[in-house]
Amino acid sequence: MTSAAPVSTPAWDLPVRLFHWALVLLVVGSVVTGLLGGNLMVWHMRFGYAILALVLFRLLWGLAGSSTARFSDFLYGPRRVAGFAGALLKRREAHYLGHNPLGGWMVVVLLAALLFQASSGLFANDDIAVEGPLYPFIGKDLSDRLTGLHKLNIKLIYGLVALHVAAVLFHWLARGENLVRAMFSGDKQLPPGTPGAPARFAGGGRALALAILSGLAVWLLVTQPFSNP
Amino acid sequence: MTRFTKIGLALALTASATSIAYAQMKPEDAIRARQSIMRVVALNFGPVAQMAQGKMPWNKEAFVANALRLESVWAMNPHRFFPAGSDKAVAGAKIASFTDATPEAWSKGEDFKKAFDGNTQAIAKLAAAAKSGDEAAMKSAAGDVGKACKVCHDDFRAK
Repeated sequence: MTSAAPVSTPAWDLPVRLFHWALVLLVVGSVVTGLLGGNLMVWHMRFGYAILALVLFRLLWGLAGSSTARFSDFLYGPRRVAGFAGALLKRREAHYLGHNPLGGWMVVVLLAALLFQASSGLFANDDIAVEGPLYPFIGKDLSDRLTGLHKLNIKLIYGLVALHVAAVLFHWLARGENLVRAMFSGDKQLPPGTPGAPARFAGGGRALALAILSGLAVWLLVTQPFSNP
Repeated sequence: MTRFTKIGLALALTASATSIAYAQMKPEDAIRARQSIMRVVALNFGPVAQMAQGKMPWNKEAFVANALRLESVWAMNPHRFFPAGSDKAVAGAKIASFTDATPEAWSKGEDFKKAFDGNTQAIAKLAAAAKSGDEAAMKSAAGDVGKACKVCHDDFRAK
């Protein structure tokens, strides 16, 4: 497909990569513990809090992070998305340093689904022995409804994850792009002359500050240290 | 009639009377009965699960008392309060004006029964662990009861 040797180009910063793989582990962990139930629900809830903090961090990093992490960098209008989808189907070259127009929307939809999953879990109850930390604020009826949505939304997440993995496999098998390796190393193998400016990486200090902020927000939400018992 | 046949006849009559009683149970009575039992089940399992999950300080006497009471309440056999015809809420019957049982509780009656039996076994093990006095075994058995409850809740309870 390419005439010249691909050029190794820095694309993903460390915060994005750490976020991605931590999220993979936590989602697997929360699904397994949620399905098994019993005393593992303690861990199901902890994993959920961590996912919520990670998603909050990613939203902030999408506003104030490195160029390839920003929503403004990878969210395109419908025409651009349709054009990219057409190029994919016709096997034309279409490379992006960051997320491509389809992948960018996948990121947003996945984040939204996980945000809903983690936040609805805060209000959920299982009628057996587990209640989310914010359950007392809303009462049983609303909690039951949110629990129902929590159980429905996980099926949507299964579908989205399957689509996400299928797309990565497609890029790998049909286009020879190893996106998994890029998500580990941070470097994408791009054909020379791929359009677009090189990535501008934000500092690690800012990432750390936003991560601490996100973690603190979730901790306050979950433990409510200032509310009267 | 020998004494033996008399007893046999009496037993047979009692058995048929019992089955008639359940068959004729009004749907609202059945719904009221099963929801009441489940509420008391939850009341006793709550502290047990909280202690097993470390959300409540460990108190062995309270754990054992609740676990043994749970076994007694469960012995009321809530499964028999799901007769045919009690799959719909009964308007105006207060507590029985809603039921969260799904239609599968009747259409997949065997699986439903199996889920109940699974919980009966898990509760028996919890009671045995409570009597043994082994804290780790008690906590783990409590977790298994939670799992057994979940089997039924996942498949036969609407949310």
